Amino acid sequence: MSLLTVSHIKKAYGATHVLQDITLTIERGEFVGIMGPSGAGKSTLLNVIATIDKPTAGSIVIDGDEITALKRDQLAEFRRRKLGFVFQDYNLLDTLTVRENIVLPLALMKHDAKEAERQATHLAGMLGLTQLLDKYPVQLSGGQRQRTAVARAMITNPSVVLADEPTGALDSKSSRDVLQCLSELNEREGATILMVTHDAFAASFCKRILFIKDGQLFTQLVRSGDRKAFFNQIIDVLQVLGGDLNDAR
Amino acid sequence: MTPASLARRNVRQNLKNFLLYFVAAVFAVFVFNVFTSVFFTAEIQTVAEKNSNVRAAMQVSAVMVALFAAMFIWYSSSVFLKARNKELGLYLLLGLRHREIGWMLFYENMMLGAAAVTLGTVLGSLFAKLFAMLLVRLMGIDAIVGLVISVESVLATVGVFALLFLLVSLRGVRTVYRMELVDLLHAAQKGERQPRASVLAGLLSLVLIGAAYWILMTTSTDKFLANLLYIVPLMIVGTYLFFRSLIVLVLNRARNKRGFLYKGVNLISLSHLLFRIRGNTLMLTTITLLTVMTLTAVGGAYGTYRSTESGVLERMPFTFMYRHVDPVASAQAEELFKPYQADITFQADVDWVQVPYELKPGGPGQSANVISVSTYNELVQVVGRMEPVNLRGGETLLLQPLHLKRGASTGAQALLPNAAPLQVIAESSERLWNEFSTWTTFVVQDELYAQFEAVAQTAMKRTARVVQMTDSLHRLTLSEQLQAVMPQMAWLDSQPQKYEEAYQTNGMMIFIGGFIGSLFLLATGSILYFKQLMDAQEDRPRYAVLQKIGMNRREVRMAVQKQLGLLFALPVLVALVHSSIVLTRFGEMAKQPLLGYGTIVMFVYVLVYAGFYRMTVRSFTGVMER
Repeated sequence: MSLLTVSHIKKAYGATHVLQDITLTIERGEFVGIMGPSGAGKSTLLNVIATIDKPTAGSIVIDGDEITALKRDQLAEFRRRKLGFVFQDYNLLDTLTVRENIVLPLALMKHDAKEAERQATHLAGMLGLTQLLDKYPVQLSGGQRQRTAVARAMITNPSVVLADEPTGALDSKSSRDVLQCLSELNEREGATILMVTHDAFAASFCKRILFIKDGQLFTQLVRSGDRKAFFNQIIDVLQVLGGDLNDAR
Repeated sequence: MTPASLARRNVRQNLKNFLLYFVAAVFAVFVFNVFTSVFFTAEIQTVAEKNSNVRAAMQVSAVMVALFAAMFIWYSSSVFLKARNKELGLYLLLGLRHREIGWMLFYENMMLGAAAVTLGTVLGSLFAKLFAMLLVRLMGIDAIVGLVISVESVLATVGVFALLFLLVSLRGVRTVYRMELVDLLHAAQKGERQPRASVLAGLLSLVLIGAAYWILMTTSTDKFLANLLYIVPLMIVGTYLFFRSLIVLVLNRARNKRGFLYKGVNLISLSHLLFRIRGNTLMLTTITLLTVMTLTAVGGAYGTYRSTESGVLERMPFTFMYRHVDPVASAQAEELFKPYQADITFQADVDWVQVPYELKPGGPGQSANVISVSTYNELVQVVGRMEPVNLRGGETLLLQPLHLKRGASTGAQALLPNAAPLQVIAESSERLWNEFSTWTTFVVQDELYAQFEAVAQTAMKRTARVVQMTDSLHRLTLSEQLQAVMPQMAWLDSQPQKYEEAYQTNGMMIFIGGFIGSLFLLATGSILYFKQLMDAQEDRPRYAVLQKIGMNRREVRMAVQKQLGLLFALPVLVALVHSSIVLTRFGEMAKQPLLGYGTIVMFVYVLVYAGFYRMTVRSFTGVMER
């Protein structure tokens, strides 16, 4: 059974149909990108999968749970246990240290303190944050902040990590850092990642890319060769896709 | 579009934003008007003309209420001004000149002020009768309050607030003239950072507070006011450092306990609180001090009011006491007492000699009374608060009603003129007779007293009549008759008259105390409420993140409750300790159980305060979930 099954999802805000009948599946261990022009519905799709927004119609099954049927507090519980989030603007708490930010989801679950600390140390090692554990977010660079956010998303060992434009606010060097981290987590820890981006460079780190246009699935690309070649393929598709993609790097 | 018309449109269109400011302004006017109206009622004025304590209390408290109203309006108008920074910046951006925006603000404020003064005065006049009735009842006056709308109070209200709103409006204009577009568009600032606290400052806070307590508990009554000069600053600085350092230290320590920190919402509430506390130190100190002032003033006033009777009896053990200075007056008094012979339970002439003295250790004193031990023993049996004593030649009993440190002078030597040094074998702070001569008194053996009397000048020899009657407190008619015949020099000290005065004064005090206390409570409550709501805006993105990563509503509420709970509880707990100590001491000085009555006041205070806490939590959570 697939990890994530989205079938016939529709989302309308009044008369505006943002998502029109989208169906997709994601398997365990995949690193999937979602691309499309502005207003194509990428973020809406991610929000719906993230249970932050509710679809107008259709069903979403994540790890065996039909999330459209869950109530508000059940959803909070579900998000906490099964999902990890990485946002464009990091969304770290400026009142907490890096260590505390990473541990936060486990603290909320009243996890054993020692075990939580151990996991945080492990993840910090993988993401190159060991020296920064006792610093506050304001003392970090954008890339370091985003890696902290990735560690926080990973610490609960979620079924799927949802990343919304994770490199949107970063310079190219930091972007590369964060993306490399994500793909390492994908390869070494087997983490399933779903990433929305409009940046072809970022997308080239994925293994598969879904293109959306006008709220519908347009096409998909699967990576077969190396990243450079994949990047060129993506650029080609984007040109066909048209729209206002001139902001792609 | 003229500034005036723009201002009118602003008021009309942003009614919701203006409403809060307006309500605050109306409230301030209302409070002042009620207060002055009550004082200008004919019944209260009659009392004030006779009782100078009441008059003084009225004047001082009217000034306090006016100051409170001024601060209230000033503060709320500055909050209001700050909230509109963006809007004003927009006008600048759109090309309005500073002068135009300034005038616009001026008109706005003046219109708002005029409306607030009108509404507040009308409401105040309507409610004044209610408060006047309450006051008359508290003062035990037999009077029916008529209409209380008084020209004087309306004039006072309009005068005070016209000036106040003029100042507020001018401040607005000045602010506009000084504003730069750049600053306005970046109005939001980040001031609060992780606090660092030194252990030294933390300990110092305890030392300072401890020192304040120590001075408070050990100074004698007569030096009390002078020592307040040390006590108050020590307490203020100590309390400030307590919040600034000690609390931060404790919270930091809790934060380092991972087992505690990583349990549910503790991580969030604790870190938010720590992050906040530096910016809130001044607020916490202010609230603590306001609360201490309120609790001690209202607790003290309430306790004094409730123990008016025992207070009077303590200071005036006898129904009447007057000196024999004029034989005619004394004879007239004798006549007046005739019809009441059956009611008199005790009467006697007592005499004493006035001398300079010196205590070793203790120092010299201007003047003390010397009385004989048989006079003492005779009076003690009537008053009943002390035991009769036997004295030998070289011994003396020291009475110091204004001294608290009992036993401090026991064993000391008393040097009195023309006599061998006397040994103080015991001392007491109880009063032997009515208060006009409550100075230091030495009780000596009868033979020794006779020697003092023999050498004393006539002017230093005193004789007085003390009278004890049944139904002592209510002999007001007789008291007034005595008052009419007694010359000033007779120092007539009348228990019933004192009782009436005390009842009026204390009634006035509890009215003023209750009134101002409620204002302070309201002020502390709203300071906390609004400050927290402003902070809530800042916390909102943080809680939004938390909800995105899976914190449910119950947990949000719990985190908010913990975060605000500590912030609310801290100042009030410190204040409860401070004011308990102060009231204990006041009670000792007044020889009344003030702390006991104070506890009732504290209970009510905490109850209302808890209401503010609940309200704040609800609004705060509302902001987080929006």
